[in-house]
Amino acid sequence: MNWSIFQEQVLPIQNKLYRYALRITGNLHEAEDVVQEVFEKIWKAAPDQNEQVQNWEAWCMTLTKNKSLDKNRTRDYRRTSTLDGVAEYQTDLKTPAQSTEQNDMIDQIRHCIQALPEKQKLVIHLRDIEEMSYEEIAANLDISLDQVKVNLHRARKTVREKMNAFA
Amino acid sequence: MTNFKDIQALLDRYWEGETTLEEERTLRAYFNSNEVDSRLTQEISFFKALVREQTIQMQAQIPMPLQVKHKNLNLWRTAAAAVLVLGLVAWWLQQPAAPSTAPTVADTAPAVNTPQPALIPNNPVPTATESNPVANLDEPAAKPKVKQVRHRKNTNINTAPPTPREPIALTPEEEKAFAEVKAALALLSSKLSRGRKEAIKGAGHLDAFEKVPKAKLNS
Repeated sequence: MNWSIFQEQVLPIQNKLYRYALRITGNLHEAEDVVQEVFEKIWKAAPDQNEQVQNWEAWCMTLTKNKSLDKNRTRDYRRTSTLDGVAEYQTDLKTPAQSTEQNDMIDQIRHCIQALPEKQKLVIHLRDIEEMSYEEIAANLDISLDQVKVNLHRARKTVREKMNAFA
Repeated sequence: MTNFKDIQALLDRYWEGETTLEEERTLRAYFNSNEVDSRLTQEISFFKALVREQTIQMQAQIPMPLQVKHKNLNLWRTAAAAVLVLGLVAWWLQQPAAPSTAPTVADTAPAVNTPQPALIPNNPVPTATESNPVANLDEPAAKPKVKQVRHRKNTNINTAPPTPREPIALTPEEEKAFAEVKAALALLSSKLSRGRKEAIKGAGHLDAFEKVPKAKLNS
């Protein structure tokens, strides 16, 4: 692996990979492990294998998805666990009362997304958080464009319905 | 875009999954601003949640691989490993050379028992005299050689004189055992070579990843 490629193409998307791994595993430490494993795999890959990679970001995202799903499958993972890493994130809101109320709502939305069916959850994450195109999402998840649109529509609809129920 | 109707229309298309990336960015920016229409407060939390998710960063530091030094080091290690493996292979190839002649000669053993005039005259005389000490006793000039032979093959002096280059006749069981030992040695040698290669390769990978806090996220 060429160090300059690693530094220019792989390192900058570290947080993107982490968020994706966190979305799939739902666990802070598992997500960190996944990112480290992805980096190691890329670094250890044979030079000729690396030369075949055209889009490093897409390649890293695919590796992240596969490794995260592997972790979900192979480990005794608790589906109901919360995004402990996300909860540490702080925002600047106006008043304490408003802050608490809005933070509760944001947490509920976050959990709502996390509770979506696997494919819907990944599609809405890649589209609304990572801002990826339909084509990129289809390639990453290995599904058709129509399936991407259908899953995104269903995911947003479910989130909206639950939001209305919260209010 | 702060017009309520425009935003509402965009929102409707958003929930239907019909907006472009650019339109979705517009919505996120609008709902994370301080100019949100009071009739749209319900969506504020949703778009704020999305933006908050976008800013999540990994807290842990990932060990970064070292550069140039390790490349050169790996090159030297590879070269050293290659030399070592070649040496082992060369050594192993030389080892079975001596015992491997035995079965070859043994294969011709029945032919030696039967009279074969063509073979005996072809044997060079010095070879015969070297391995036949009794015959050499009649020749004074050859005495020093006899002593050397006696010293080397002490147990054969009082026995019947061996025929020149007498082949080692192996029984079928011995031949089978010999073949099995040879195969086992070959297997052992290959396993050793492969194990060493794997060990060197594994050590290289381990060294490639070391903690370098300074190298982490310079940007």
